[in-house]
Amino acid sequence: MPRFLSCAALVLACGACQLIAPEPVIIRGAPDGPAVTLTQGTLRYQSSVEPFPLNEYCSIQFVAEGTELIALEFDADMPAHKHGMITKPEITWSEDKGWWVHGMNFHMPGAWVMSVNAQTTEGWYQIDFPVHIGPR
Amino acid sequence: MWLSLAFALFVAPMQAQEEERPYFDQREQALLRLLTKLPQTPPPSPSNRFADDPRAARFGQILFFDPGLSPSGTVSCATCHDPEKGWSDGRPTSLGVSLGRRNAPTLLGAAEQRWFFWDGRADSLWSQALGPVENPVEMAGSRTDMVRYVAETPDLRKAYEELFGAMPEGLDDRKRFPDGARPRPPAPTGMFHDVSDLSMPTEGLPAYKAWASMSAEDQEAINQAFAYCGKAIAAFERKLVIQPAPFDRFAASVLTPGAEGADKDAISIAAQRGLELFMGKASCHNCHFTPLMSDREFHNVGHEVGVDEDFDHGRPDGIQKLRLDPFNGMGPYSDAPDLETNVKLRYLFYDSHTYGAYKTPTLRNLGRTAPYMHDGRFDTIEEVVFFYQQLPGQPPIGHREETLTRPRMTLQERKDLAAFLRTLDSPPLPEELRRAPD
Repeated sequence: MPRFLSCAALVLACGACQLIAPEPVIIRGAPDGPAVTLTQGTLRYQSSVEPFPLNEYCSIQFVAEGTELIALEFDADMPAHKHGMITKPEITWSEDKGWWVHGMNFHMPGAWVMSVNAQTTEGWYQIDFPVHIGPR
Repeated sequence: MWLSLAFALFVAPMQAQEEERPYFDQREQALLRLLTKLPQTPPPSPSNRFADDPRAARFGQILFFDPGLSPSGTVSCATCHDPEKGWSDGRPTSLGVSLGRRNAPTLLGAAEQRWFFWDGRADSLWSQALGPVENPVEMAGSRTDMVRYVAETPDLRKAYEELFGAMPEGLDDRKRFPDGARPRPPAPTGMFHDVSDLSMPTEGLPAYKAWASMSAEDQEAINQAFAYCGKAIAAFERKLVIQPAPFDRFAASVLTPGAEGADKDAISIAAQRGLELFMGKASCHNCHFTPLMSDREFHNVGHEVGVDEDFDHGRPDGIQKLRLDPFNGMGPYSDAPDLETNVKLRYLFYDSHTYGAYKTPTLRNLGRTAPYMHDGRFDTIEEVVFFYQQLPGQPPIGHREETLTRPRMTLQERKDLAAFLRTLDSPPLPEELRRAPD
């Protein structure tokens, strides 16, 4: 009986978790593609320096179209090197400037992945934007 | 018949040699562009408003070569950064008043660096210049003694005051400005401390007590004068610009044939093959890019330590020390302490991946700056190349940079790579920069 109760509690707890934090929609962007299509609308990025500079500091703006971006998390890694950036970027938002990630530095040449957790009014998305830095 | 023989003996071998000349494809040419075109003026140094003042550079040059900055009167900046030894010292680890634990890097092109010291514990050339003065194994001095030395040496005092204004008053009052007075260096805490910091509280206690006995105004006056001296030394060091090397003339022949100085024979065919390896199978370019041949950042290449050696955490200690340093770019002695200017400090990340990581050294003038690595463990370029081929053992802390992949190179290929690395030696700087000014 107690085992049954624990299982029931677990099922209920899982259901509650799903209500609170629904599964994100996972999207992998096209290589070097600055935009992805969401369930509703699109999300695209634009670097302060085009193309992304190698081993220099830069910022990136995220713009949602056809939906409203209400929360953003950002990280970037080099999967082949098993490390990320040498900086801790800062995310800012203002009504006139929108969403920005400042203090990025892709310090080595090669394949990077920018990982973005984006919350819009319609849903939650985990998006990978593959980018290549430096000469190919 | 004679004609055939002559062809076989002279023309055919020359053709064969021509055929062996490597071809640099589009990708390699793009990489070459990253490696060459040396800047002949250093980047701006906003935290040092005297950085490009010729009077500051001259004063800094005097200080750089003056052993009087050390209380023993035997150690100057040039002791470990000897112009005749590639602005290094030719020793595995430096010998100031006693033996240090790290190799003295060359100062050629130092102004191009982003961070200073092997662990990057300084963020400007001028704040770096202050470190050795109070390091117990380098000059083993103090900021108070150094400022007093400048004040009591008429030529130095005159040069200082022309630039920075009056020196602090009352320096001859030993009660007010005690001999050897210096603050306790801000030591990293917790598990990431540097072992050398453990001895500091007792070892330097009289000097720290002497500093604590001074008024806040006098401490501030000494700090300001000390910072000015560092800024002058940096103004001189900014003149130590890397001159184009044979590699640069060769690279120009690939990228812009016919350009002034371009020379496809500036480096041997073996060195050209070595360059191809550098950007290809050996993947040296992953960390050694930019014209400085360094990404100016930090990597753990996985050196083992012997049983009697101390752990040296490298970059994590450097980050902690940098943040605590009042002479960093956002500190009260910086000429541009704002957040917008100090991007590299603002977004600096204390990252577990950097345990055991040291700054990627410049490869420029490698032939003149043996021995190699942060602890000078390798005497020759060939040994360094062999290390990267073998990657023996495991690092004592952290993990080895994953991009290092044990390239399988033949003996000939290792020789070619070493031959290329020797083409990065540039001509010496003018004689007037290699000594104290008249």
